[in-house]
Amino acid sequence: MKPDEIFGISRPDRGLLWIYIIRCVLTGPLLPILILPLVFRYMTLRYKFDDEGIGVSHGVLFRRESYITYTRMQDIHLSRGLVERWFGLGTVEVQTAAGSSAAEIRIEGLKQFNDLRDFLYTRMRGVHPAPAAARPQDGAAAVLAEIRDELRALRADLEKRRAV
Amino acid sequence: MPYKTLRAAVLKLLRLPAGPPEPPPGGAVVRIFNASPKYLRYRLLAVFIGALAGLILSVLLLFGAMAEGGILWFAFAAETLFGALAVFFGYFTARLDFEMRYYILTDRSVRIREGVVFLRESTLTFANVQNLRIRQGPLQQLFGIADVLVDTAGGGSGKADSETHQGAGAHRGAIQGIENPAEIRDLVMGLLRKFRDAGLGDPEDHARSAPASEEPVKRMREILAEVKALRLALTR
Repeated sequence: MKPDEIFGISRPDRGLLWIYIIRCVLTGPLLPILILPLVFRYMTLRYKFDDEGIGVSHGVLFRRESYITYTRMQDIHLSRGLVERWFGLGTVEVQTAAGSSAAEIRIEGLKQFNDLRDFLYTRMRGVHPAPAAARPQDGAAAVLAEIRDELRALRADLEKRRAV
Repeated sequence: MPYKTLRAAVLKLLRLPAGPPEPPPGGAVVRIFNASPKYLRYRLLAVFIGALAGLILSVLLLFGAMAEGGILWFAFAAETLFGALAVFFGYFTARLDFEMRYYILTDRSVRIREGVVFLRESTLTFANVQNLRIRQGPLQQLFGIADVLVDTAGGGSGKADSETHQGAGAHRGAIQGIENPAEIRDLVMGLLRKFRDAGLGDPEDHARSAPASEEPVKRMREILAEVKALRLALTR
């Protein structure tokens, strides 16, 4: 995986526009109604990958922007329809535990869908299963031992003085 | 074999990747398996029933045409042709769907690849799995197959599952049409056990579940003894 390559992604591939157009053409008479929102969607679709998570935004009149952190991702779906496969593209859908069955984020129109999926897989929730039990108490034990020694010395000192 | 050449041509046309999908990166692959051949027979049952219905309709139309002639001959020819085509496509897609279906178990996740026209690969990590279920309908019982359902956290719309379970919410992975559901379930359970916090919960929660060390308590007891002795020494 090359994270830099993933971080560099900000726009979908040009093929996505064609996919939208083909989908609209297939609907027939609805073409003029459906095509405008999709073209605007393609034109305004922006992806933003950073160290913490992914942001997706689109929309002209109604702007939508969602952001998901890697640690909250739990299912990754890769879906590729027939037309998408013809264009060599794929859609990566990411889900969190939120209560909807639809994907929270859809990253459409990417040629690097496989790299992206692997990239997400190495950062999502559950990457670090049962880490070697970290023991913060060990440090505490050392400090406690020091306090004990200090007290012991104090008492010894006190007893010595009493004896004098 | 004609099926093989046709299959190769269709795979190329549909841009379907042959062979199993790539396993998720990192971690060991525990098992790669397919649906049972019985699953194909189960899927073909619907095609068979459809073919039977078409055949009956064809025969009826043929009798009608022999009695009346005219337009019914045309209806008979059209019905037979379309029926044959539908059966062929039904058989072909069912077989292709069966052959393109892959399940990959790794030590961290399960990946399910399904679909012919609409290809879908779901990767569900065990850290998020809420429950495992086995489902078997009466027909599946007859064929000796069952589905293992892997549910992850999060709800779904109340979409009813169809016979093929394709309407299942996206928070679910279905390992469909296998003969040894209990074995697969136990295998996944064993892998799941490594993820103590499977399900919801904080990814940073691990520290809390670390086994408590005995040492601090011991040290504190020593300090207590020391302080008691100190007090004794002072008040003597």
